[in-house]
Amino acid sequence: MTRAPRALLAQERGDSDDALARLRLVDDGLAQAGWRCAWAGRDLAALQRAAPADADLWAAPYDGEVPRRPLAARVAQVSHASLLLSQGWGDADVLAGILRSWQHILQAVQPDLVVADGAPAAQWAATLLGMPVAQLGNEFSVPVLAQPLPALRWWTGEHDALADAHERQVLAALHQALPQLHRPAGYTIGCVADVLRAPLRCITSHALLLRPPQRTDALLLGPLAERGADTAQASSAPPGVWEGPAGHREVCAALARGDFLLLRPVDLEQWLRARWLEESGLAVVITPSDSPQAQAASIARAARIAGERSPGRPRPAAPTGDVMQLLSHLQALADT
Amino acid sequence: MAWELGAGLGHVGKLHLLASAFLARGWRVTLALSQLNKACYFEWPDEVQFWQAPFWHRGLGGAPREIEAPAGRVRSVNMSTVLLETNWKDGVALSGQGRAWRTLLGHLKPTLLLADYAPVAMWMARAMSVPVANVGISMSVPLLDDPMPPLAWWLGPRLNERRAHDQRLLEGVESAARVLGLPPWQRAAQAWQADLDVLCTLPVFDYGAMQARPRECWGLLEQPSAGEQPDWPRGDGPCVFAYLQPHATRFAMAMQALADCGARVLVVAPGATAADQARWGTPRLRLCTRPLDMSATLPAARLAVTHGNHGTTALALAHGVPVLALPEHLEHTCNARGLQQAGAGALVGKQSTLAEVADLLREGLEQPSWRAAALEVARHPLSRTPPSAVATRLLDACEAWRRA
Repeated sequence: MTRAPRALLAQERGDSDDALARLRLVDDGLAQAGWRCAWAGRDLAALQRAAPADADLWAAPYDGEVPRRPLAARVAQVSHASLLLSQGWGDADVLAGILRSWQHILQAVQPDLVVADGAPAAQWAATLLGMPVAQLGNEFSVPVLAQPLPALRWWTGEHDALADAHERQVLAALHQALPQLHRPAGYTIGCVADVLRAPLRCITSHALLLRPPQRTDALLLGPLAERGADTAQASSAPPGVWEGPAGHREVCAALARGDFLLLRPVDLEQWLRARWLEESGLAVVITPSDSPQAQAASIARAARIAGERSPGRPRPAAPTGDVMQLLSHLQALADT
Repeated sequence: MAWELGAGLGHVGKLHLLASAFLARGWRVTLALSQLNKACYFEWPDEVQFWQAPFWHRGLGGAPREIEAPAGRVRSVNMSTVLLETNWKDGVALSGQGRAWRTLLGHLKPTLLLADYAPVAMWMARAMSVPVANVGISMSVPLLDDPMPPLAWWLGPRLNERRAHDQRLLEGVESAARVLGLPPWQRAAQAWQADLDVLCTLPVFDYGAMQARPRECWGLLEQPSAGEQPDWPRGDGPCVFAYLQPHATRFAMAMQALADCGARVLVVAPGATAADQARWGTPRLRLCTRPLDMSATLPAARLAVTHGNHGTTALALAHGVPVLALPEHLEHTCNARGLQQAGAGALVGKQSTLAEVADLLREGLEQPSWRAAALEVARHPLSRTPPSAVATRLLDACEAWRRA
């Protein structure tokens, strides 16, 4: 008797309902095709809400120090390498511990496919075990794979010595951790981006969020779980303007409607998204440090721009996120 | 072996000692730790596996802090409060943890669960008929009562608050139990129900004894010699050993007082940065980030300064070294009250000034009664019981129990 094919759906961030909603779509789709999915995540409350009741849940390994570290002791987030560094990727022993624990989970589940959504350690652990991995995520969590990994604040246009230092620190830890891990013979790492490579990388964002706009390093699927999101907004928003934080789900929905955006970002990812949309002429950004007068001026500017857009103006191309397309790619990946 | 709650190195250090003993008798050992990075402080045989323990931490987001105490009152009324603060009031969060423990235990199929401050693991193990030994100190092997006993017992019984917190805990458990298909509990004390309670401390740190309800203590299961050799600052004067958390609210005050006290000072502060070392390091004060061999460090010390964390504080007393404690939270305060009750040290109040800390440091270095009381604790037979003997006794008990 053959066993049902298995997938492990992995998520390492503690605050991503979007990712878990995407993974639920994947689970539902795979389940219809006869797959059985196990889930691994850091926030078990969120996992409990997102995963089907009969799925096995695993606690995602991570550097337990991170939530306890005071803000002043945290890593300055200047590049995608910094993000890894802040998750324990700067210490070879800690990193090896995280990776080994992921490999235990992977060996326990024996998946035919790993879907990693904001789960770089799970992704690398699976790659080292020779398991097929699909990386899924928005434009932020599926970064361009360059050497060094891209700086986050692109607009500064400066050579960032700190970003280089973070890249070197992560790379050194990767090299030191590697001998402690199960890995294919002859496996080597040339740069940090190497550990983030996957045979299938899918971006579930609106095309207008991509920076650079034409990305060939990943498949653009368009928003999945983000479609039809609840986009409740401030009642003070002028007509034709969507006002709120720059969460991925809400922004994708507003862009698909053709709304102009008045954004009040609250975390790093939202800041970067808001900045890009403002540069693209699609948003006005309000910061907490803006004076009431400056905020009022921003709101008036957003209203003016929205008003100048003719009602019949064609909406920006809105990719239709297609779960079936994703599932067929996943199936093909598992088959290979 | 499972660890969910608490911080510091003591929990993993304890499990390290137990793992060595169990491995030596041919057991297979797997550890599930809430903070995997803490394992890096110890050397482990290759056959030991590490897994992420399912647990909830405030830093992950989720439920807001809802357990509010009136101004000036201790927040943690009893152990039910402690569990409520780790999100046991949220049935969804608790059932998520329960499911993940069930997945892990279902995969590992352990003969025995040794739990160190791991109540969700204990609950799931009991539900899966896996025998449980609850190994820990007074906080994690608590006195059991209905309602659960007060944690800050010196502040009065607070009976209504204790009942209310127990009730809220039971509501969270009932909600999670429904999801998990398990029966609800009748009493909050069931959180700590185990087949074997192993209270690894000295009588002076038994919270039961402090409330006239002494329990059997097994002795210390702390790592005395896992660490680097001490390198005391050269020169004259007494030696002071300190174990402090660099992120503690009173770290700077403690460091300033130590720098000014005139003694030769060796501070261990895991996680201290290069900037901390540059700021505080002098020829008379050395700041290290790695654990030290306590059996080599403490004999030279005239005084220890800690937050009141159990491991270092108990080891100091077992070596006859008095302790000045700057508690960061309630468990520290409870331990500090124990050493204060024994006359072997003092507790620095939350509102104390630098001058007051300096005075207490001076008293600790000069007052012979502190030293005499600490030596009295050191003469207790349990102070001289090596941790390996505690581990062996526990192992014997587990094996006898398994045979039975």
